[in-house]
Order: sequence, then structure tokens, then C-alpha cells
Amino acid sequence: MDDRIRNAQRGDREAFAAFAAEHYSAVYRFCARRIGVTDAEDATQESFITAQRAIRGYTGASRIETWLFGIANNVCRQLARRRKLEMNTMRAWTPDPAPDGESTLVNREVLRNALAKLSDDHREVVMLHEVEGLAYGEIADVLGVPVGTVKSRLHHAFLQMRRHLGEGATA
Amino acid sequence: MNDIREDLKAYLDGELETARAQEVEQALAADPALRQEAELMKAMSETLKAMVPDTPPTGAAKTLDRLRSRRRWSLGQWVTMGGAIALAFVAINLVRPGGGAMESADLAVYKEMSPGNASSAPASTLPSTGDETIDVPTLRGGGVGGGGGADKAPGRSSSPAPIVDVPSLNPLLIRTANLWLKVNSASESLAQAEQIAKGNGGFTTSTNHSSTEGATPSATATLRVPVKTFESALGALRKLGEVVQDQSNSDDVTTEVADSEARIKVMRAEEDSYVTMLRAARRVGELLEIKERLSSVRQQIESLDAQRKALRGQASYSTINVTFTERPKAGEPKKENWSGDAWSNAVNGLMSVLRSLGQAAIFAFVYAPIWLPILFVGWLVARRLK
Repeated sequence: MDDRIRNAQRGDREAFAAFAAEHYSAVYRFCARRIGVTDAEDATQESFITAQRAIRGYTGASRIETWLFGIANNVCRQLARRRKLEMNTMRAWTPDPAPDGESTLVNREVLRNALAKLSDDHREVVMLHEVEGLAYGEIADVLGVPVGTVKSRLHHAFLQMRRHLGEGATA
Repeated sequence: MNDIREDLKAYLDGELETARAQEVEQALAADPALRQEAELMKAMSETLKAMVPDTPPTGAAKTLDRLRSRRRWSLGQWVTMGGAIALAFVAINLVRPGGGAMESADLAVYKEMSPGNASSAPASTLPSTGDETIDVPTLRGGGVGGGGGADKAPGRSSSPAPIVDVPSLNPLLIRTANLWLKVNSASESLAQAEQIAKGNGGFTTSTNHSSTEGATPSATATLRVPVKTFESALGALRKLGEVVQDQSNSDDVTTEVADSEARIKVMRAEEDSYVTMLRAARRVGELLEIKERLSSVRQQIESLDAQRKALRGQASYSTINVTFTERPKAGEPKKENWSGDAWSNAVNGLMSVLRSLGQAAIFAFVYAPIWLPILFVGWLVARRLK
């Protein structure tokens, strides 16, 4: 655990602000992908305010980013419920054709539709792993579920998407 | 092979243990279809990553300023503040005149000695019953075989007008007074109080005289005097010593008495109809059923009559609970009983604090529909302002 976090745990606001400045972009992007750009700023601010209150409880058992994403995920869920927002929205995703050099095995539009058809739980795991780049154990920490559940959800999510891709290809 | 497929994604993500990963590798080397599947999964992952739009972050400066200067209340602090406001409100209610609080520390002791309750409601604030007529709704059902015996009683009108019009009644008030006095001699004052009750046409229901070693001598009496002489008896009692506390309350039972009387009239009419039916009945079953109902109606009449008489009795005589405590006699050396005094003071103090806390809790609970929503709205506003 670095000194900045230790100082923040002792109530040093400047130390926490410096720590927040370092992770702001990551948390903001995380929130934007959870509930959309419009509400991402509010969610990010709320996440850091919550983190400031809870920083004393951080033991260093997980990466600090994972800990922050866990808080941000809960804040996004609350905000989505309060403001009736769609979680794990893909509205801002661009269905542009694949640029040169990208694998042509997968059609972007078909994959986007396949992802949209997944259940919330499955889509959430796919986004946390593929988009946020979190490891299975970290996803388990963020969502508060066992690692086995994460593995199983990812397997089934990809199975379903592959099925949709097959249907899309034949269509 | 199915097992291998279940672990394929985890293998591609590097999340498998070495032994299992080797098994998947071997399966991939042997199975071209599985390799194709793995390629597709990789392509899906890459495409997903490439599709995600980049969102340049905004609002960082605002958030960081907030984090540096932020000094906001947590939910716990809001709740504490709400509780403090509620307690302050309760305290104000308790100490304001007529709010129920004692005005002197001595009163705690007097209150403990009081034989009656100490609720106070000035008689002058009681609503007047006026000359209005109390309407009693028509009783329905209750007849033998569903015939509605009461409704079919002789002379009974079938119009929706009330069965019984109760004439206007003088207000019937059950009055109770609690009087605490400091006197020179508790026993003499007790005897005088009994005389006052007698002189006003009343009587004494109970007395208690206490002169324990080390404690201040005191006496209590419960007097019953006719309503008409209540005020004069109270006035005479006040003259017996220095009034420390004087409370009186009245309970208006006019409506209850009128209600009982009206219901008795209705029941009597029902009783008459049952008697008539009983005379005309021929079958044994019918006779038994009518008798049973007649007995039930008579029991109800007796119960209501007893209730009515009790209320009238209580209203005709008022109750005065009087407590006398002796003043320390001039020149009399003060008895040294510091430990006893300290003990009784501490116990009285504790009782007083507990009572106040209890009252505060009751007030807080009763007023919860007011302060809880305010607190909740305040909390919501605070959340919005974040």
C-alpha cells in the first residue's frame, strides 16, 4: 500500500485528492460504460466521495483499482435505479465497419446485437473482463460473487454470443 | 470434449491452472474444430475491445475540489442531528407552562407521594355539551329466525329516524384534583382536611400518615366531595398551607352516559318484543331460542345499567387527592442524615431523569411522523446537493 493511501486513511484530504486525480479517468470511463456518459460525471464524483469515507477500511487485500471499481459499480447500480438508467449500456458503441487489420471473423453489428441479447448478469461479466480488462478474481471482488460464477458466466455468455453470431452469419 | 470446451474461454484468458491448461492445449492440437472455436473466441474478444468508444473524462477538477474541501454530514450525523432536534422539541414541550413538567425540584418528591394521577387538563377548556340531542342509530337484526324482533316491536317506526331521542343532559364531569401543600403539622392538617370534606357534604376514602425517623413527616388523604361543593372544598384545603402544586382534571362522561341510557332503552324495547314473542311461541325449539335471546338482552341491559350508574356515581362526587408535607420547624436542629438524604436525592434524581427520558422517547415516537419525513427530505436534499 503506498504512502498516499496511508495518508488518506489518516484523513489527509490532499493525499486522497492526489490519489483520486490519478484514478479519475479509469473510474470515469468505467462509470461511462456502466450507465452512459451523461451520468458518468455524477457517478464518478459519488464514487470518490464514497471511497473517501470508506478508505480507512481498505486493507490492501485487492488492487486499489479493483476496490474503486467495486465502489463505482455499486454507485452506478444505485444511480441507475434512482434515475431509471440502463446498466451496461451500449448506446455509444459504434457499429462502424472494422478497420483494416482487424479480424474479419466477426461482424461488429452482429456481435453488438449478440451482446445486447445477453442477460444483465452475463453482459456485465463480459464488459468487466473484455472491456475493463479485469481478471476473473477481480471481477469476483467487484461483483461479490465466487470466481467459479464469473468463469461460468463468461463461458455461457460467449457460448450464447457465438450462437447469435452463427445465426447472424446464416441470416 | 465438452469439458474442454467449458474451459476454453478460461484457457484463452490465462485463468486455468497449469495442468488443466496443458490438457486444453493437447485437445487444441488434436482437434481442428476446437482450434477454430478458439480463434473465433479470440476474434470476439478483440472486436469487443475495439468497439468500445473512448470517452474523455470530464468533471475531474470539480470532483477534486469537492474532495479537498468536502465536509459533509454522513447519514449517521443527519440522524443524530434529527434526534437532537426532536429531543430539543420535546424538552421545550416539557418545560413550557402546562407542558407537564414540574417547576420545582421538590415536586418530584411530592409527585411520588401523590395518591392519584397527575395529568392536568383545566376544567375551563372542556367542551360544552350544550343542548344538543344525541342520536342513536337504529339497531338492526337480532330477531328470532331472522325476523328482526326489535324492529317489529309494538309502536316501533320503520322510518330511518333514530329510535330513541335522548333529552339534553347537564354535563357530567368526573373531576379530580391533586393538591400538594407544605404545612406546619401534617397530622393536624389531615384532621382539618377530613373536617373540610365532611363540612362540604363529602367523606374521606383513605388516609396515610408517615413520620419515619429521619424523613420529613407527611400525610396523604383522598377525599370525595359533591360536585357542587368541589370548588369550595378545594378552596378551603388550599388555605391549610403553602400550595406547592395544584392540579385538576375533568373527564366528560356525558356522551358515555347518554349512550348507555339510549342503548338501555333500545334493549328494553327488544326485551319487550321477545317477551311478546315468547308468549306467542308454540314449538319447544322456538321457545328455547327466544329465551336464550331474552336472557342475553337482559344481561346486556344489566351491564349497561351498572356502567351508567357507576359513571353517574363518579360524576356526582369529585375526588381530591391532598398531600401534606411538614416544613422544617424554626429553631429545630437539623437532623444529620446526610447518607440517607444523598441516597434519596440520588434515587429521586435518577427516577426524574428516567421519567424525562421516557417522556422524551414517547414524544419522539409520537412526533416521528413529523420529524422523520423532514429528516428524510433533508437527507435527500443533501444527497442531491453532493
